[in-house]
Amino acid sequence: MRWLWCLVLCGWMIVPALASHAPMSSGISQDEVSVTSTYNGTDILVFGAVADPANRDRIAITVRGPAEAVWVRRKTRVAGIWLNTESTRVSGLPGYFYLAQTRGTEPPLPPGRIAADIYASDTSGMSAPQRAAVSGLQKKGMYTDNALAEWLEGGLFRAHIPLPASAPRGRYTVQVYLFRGDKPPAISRHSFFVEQVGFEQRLYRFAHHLPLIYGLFTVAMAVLIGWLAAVLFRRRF
Amino acid sequence: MFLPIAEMSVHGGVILAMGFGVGFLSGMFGIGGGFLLTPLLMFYGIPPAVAVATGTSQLTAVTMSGVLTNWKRRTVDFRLGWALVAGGAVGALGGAGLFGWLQHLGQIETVITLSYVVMLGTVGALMLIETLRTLRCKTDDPVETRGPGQHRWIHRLPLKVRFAEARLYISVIPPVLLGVFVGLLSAVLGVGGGFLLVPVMIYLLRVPTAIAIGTSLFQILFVSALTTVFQAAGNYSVDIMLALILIIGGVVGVQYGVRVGARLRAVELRLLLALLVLAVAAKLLADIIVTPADLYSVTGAS
Repeated sequence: MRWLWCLVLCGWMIVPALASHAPMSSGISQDEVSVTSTYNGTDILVFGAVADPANRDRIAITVRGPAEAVWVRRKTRVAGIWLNTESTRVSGLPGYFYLAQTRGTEPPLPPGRIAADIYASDTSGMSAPQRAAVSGLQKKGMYTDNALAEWLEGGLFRAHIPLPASAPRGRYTVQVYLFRGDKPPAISRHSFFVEQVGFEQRLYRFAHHLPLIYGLFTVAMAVLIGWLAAVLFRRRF
Repeated sequence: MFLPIAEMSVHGGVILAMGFGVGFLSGMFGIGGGFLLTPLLMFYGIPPAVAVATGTSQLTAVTMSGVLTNWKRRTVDFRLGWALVAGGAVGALGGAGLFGWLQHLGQIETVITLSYVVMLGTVGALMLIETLRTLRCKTDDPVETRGPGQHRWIHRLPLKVRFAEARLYISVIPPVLLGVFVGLLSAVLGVGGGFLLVPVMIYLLRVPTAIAIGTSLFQILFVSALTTVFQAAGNYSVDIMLALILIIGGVVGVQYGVRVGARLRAVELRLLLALLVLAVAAKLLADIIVTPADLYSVTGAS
């Protein structure tokens, strides 16, 4: 179903692409991800088409989440107990990073050749805390640099970008690169937002803007349910 | 489902089961269950701040019915209760502040874990020893207590107040100090502190057992409620969705736990509880002693 939809969209896009002589055109499946109470992560579909497809064309897609500062803490053993002893604030890393490329007969490009700021694999120039921050994000499924983008027929391509439930909220940028021969890549850019909406958003705002009332509200809820349960169960048994 | 404050996706059924299980145990053993709920939530991956702050709101709901029952039976000494609550409010306020500071330093997990190990290890071991001794003697004889009216240091303190239901005429200072300490524990560890309040009231203040239990529930109700408010206002760490599921599971669990508990022998109950407490302590101890797989931990900088 999704595949079909992708084909239709690609078909619709390929015509203007060919007409304008742009080597590539692309799009994304949604420009807003709504975090609701049933949210459990989602998939973003990035798709597109190249004009005059050639055998050696390569497509690379990067997705970057909003930059988030994190605390990296290192444990050392103190009197037999593992304690956080050093802490460093690491900022400037995107909270989410994803890189997918198409695979042809040749090996995949090293991530550093696709974009200069790719963190996931090239950690050689980084400090130990920065490396730890990257590997921590990798473990949470926030950093991937070896995913696959697929070629479909007739110069169409697509990639699924999995967003875990805990991916940071904010603006994400998507860049699609077409590498053709030795020329610098053609790039197209998109962006989408991950946002709490509706009830969830109201709760979050409530908790942060009116924290005292929010706390009182939680307590009132607890007292009411506790009292209700006591009354109900006394009747039942 | 997605938790708005913890900002993570959890399985609603698992949380409901946790609430029910802890509620069941607290009904069965007559305990608050905070010391089980907080570590359980942490084992599941809920950030410690959210686990502690949200766990206390479940405590409020679960103790509510206990307080109502004891109120009807007139086994709450309100004057003593208010003295404890007054101390508890100060302790909880200080505790919420301490919590925020430790969180900022990145030491909150260690402090929580270590405190739990010490607290649960001690209480569990004491209970186990006492239970095994009782089992060996095959009798449930009451612990020897000195009769009221004996003069000890507690009776020499100033500001004496008459606590009618508790049949006491003592200084207001020890209950207030006890309240402060328990309030602090409540805010930092997410426990009600009944395991501490009840024995101290019985053995040190010489409060009759039924009144001690009723009054301690009264104190826990108010202090857990205050702690929830302080944590929400100061640390933004109360997750109302998580609280709702835990509370629903909890209040139902308690009712069934009470019924099962009534059918078991008191000594067997205490033995089970002691083993449970020691198991939690052992698991927590292992967490901080075993070399971690990753020496680095990454947390949000908020």
